[in-house]
Amino acid sequence: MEEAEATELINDLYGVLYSPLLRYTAHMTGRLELAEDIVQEAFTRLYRDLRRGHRIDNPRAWAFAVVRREVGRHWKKAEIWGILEPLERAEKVADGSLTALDSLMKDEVSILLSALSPREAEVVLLRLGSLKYREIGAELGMGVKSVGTLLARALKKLRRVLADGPENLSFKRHVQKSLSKESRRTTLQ
Amino acid sequence: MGRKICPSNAMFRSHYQKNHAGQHCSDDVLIAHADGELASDEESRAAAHLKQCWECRGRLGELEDTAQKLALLTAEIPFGGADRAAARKANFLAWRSEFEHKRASAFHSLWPFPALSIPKLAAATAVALAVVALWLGREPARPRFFDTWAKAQRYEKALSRTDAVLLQVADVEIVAAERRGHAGRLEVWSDRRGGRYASRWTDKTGELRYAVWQSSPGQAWRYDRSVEQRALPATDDQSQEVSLVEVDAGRLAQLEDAVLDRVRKRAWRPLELSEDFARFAAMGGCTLDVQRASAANGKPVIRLTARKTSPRASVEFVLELDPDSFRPRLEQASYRVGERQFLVRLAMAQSEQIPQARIEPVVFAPEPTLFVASLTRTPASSPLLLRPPAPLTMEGPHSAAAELEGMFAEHLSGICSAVSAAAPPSGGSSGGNNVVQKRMQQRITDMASPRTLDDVTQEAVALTASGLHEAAEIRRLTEWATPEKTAGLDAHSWRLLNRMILDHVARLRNRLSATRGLLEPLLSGDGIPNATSAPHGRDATGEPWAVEAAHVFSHLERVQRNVSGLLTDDGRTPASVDTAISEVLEDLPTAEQELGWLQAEWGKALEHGIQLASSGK
Repeated sequence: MEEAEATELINDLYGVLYSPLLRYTAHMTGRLELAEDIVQEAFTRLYRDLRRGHRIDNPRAWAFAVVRREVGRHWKKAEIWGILEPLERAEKVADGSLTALDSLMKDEVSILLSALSPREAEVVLLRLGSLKYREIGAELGMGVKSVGTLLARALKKLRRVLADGPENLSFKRHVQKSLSKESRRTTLQ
Repeated sequence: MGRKICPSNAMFRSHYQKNHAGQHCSDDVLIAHADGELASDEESRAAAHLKQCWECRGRLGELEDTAQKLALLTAEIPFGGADRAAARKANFLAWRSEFEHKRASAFHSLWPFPALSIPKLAAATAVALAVVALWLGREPARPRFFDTWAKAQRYEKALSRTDAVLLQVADVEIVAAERRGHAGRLEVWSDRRGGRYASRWTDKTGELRYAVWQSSPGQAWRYDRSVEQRALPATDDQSQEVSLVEVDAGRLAQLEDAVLDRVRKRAWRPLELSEDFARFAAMGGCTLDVQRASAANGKPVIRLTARKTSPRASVEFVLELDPDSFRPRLEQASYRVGERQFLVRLAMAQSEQIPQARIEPVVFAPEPTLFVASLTRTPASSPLLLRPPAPLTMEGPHSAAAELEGMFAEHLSGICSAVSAAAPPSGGSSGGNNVVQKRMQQRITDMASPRTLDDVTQEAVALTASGLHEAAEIRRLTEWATPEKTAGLDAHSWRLLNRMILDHVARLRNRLSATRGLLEPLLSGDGIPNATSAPHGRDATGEPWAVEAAHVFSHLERVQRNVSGLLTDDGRTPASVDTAISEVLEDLPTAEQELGWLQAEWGKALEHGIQLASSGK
């Protein structure tokens, strides 16, 4: 693909995809900076492939697949090397010393998503990235019906949270919930 | 996900059940409907239901509302903050610029056709090159034998069909295993229109070996010098057609003479290699082949091969042609007889049509220096002879010895094949005789009950047939070894002849004694003729051994006829069988006795011959 054409396409995709991709990646990794790096890597790879003439039929699904793979690698590395960053981060967040995460954790959508199960949250995030049920199913390894079911269940939960007011889903409670999750993971390791 | 049942409103339930089988849309169906993710039939069913069901419409509205709120929340500001997003995009744009710069800076910037990508163009070029390489390196179609040969013949015919003088120069090489190789050059001038011809064969030192000149029809000279520096007999003017390709084992020792003869036979005609090849290939039993090959100098050629193989010898004739013009470039005849190998190679170095005006008349006349030489030497000792052309004869003592060698090689191969075929032990040694005798005696001892007359007769027929063959061989040798032939034989040749004769005699003696041992038990002791008496009242006459050999053969013929008659006579009676066997048993000692006389006469001839050969040296 020629430079001008590739530049135009990547600009369009960047505008549309950056925020959903980053939200999804941040939710999956729990780290904003890491998520930003992964998303940027996905865009650079997309541009490079376009310039080399590779055919990418669905750049949106392609980008989500790339970042999801990178997130998987990240967690794999963390498991292998025993990196306990999530726990440390959570502790820092708990005592309010980690400002870099403030914007992430104070984001209303993130708080809302914390009311969902990880699978439901992932489906919602991918749907917010405008992926079709079929693409979400292919990415998560499930059927289209399951995607619809998870999505409907998530929306019902979110509706209840929104009806109660997001402020009731306190930040502290969310952090505690995160801490308990991390503790379980650490114990298992 | 459970399905929601209508509230317990009786009237509504009644209305709903009438139309919708009593079920609402589930949440996942509703959200899929909102997202346009339902299949067409489900979509139509859901749409129809939603038109009539306020409750499902309400639930759909709630789900849509929630989704809209969530989408609005995410769309308001970029996640992580606008500043961070802007910084990251700036990073990405910087990377993109660097990437493009690197891409453009290398050889890519030199590429004048931006519309064509270099990898694709390189791949296309590689494919094109591969196709061209395959095309160039393809194996040409295999030539057909007779087409190729016909083209070669046409080429040579067209070359000689000219009013100009045809000059042909060929390098001749003769390689024999037990003799040093010889190389020479053959030059042939042919003037078809003027009936003139000249041929010169010089050896590698430049010395003239053979030449003929025909300055006009009917006026010709020949210069000849034999290979072994000896003069030709002045009286020997007999013509004998000896073609190189017909050289047999007996004449291999005179291969050079044969080549000379071939040149002579070609008198007044230009060289035509394709004709030589055709003459050989026309012989029966040849295997013909044609293939593309590389010559010794690496140039491509078409190679015609005719091969004839027998257990004793093999001959291969090769003709190499120019692949484009089909010009014959080389002919090569290879002979292999036993362990011996011979090779004659004739390579065309030049073949040119020269206008008559450029030809000096002296080309077709003997060189004056040769006349001078003939006058300054004594004819008896000089190898130089000047006389009208006459073909070289292959007769004489030298060829008889060579012929004998060939016969001996054949004789040896016959013995080998007889041994390998597990025939009755063959010749030459008394050990073999004893084995046969013991074996036959054993059989006769065993024939009391299990063997029939037919069994014995069949064996006797086989033995007498074999004996007749041996007698025929002896007769052939005696007929060949006339006093004229054996006059000049050396001691070695005499020994060869002796070995062959004695081999056949011993083998014949085997057959005779075995036949007698087989048939004697069939008669009573009184009926057995006395083997020591002179047969048919004839005493030893001291006739030449050739005559004795003929007598032996005729006796063996009669014996064989009588024994075969036993087998074929269906209406035989015991008396007729006894008569026939008696005749056979009478003939057998006669033949044996005559064989003894033959051997005695042959001994005399051998002694005399060896004496002569020794005194001749």
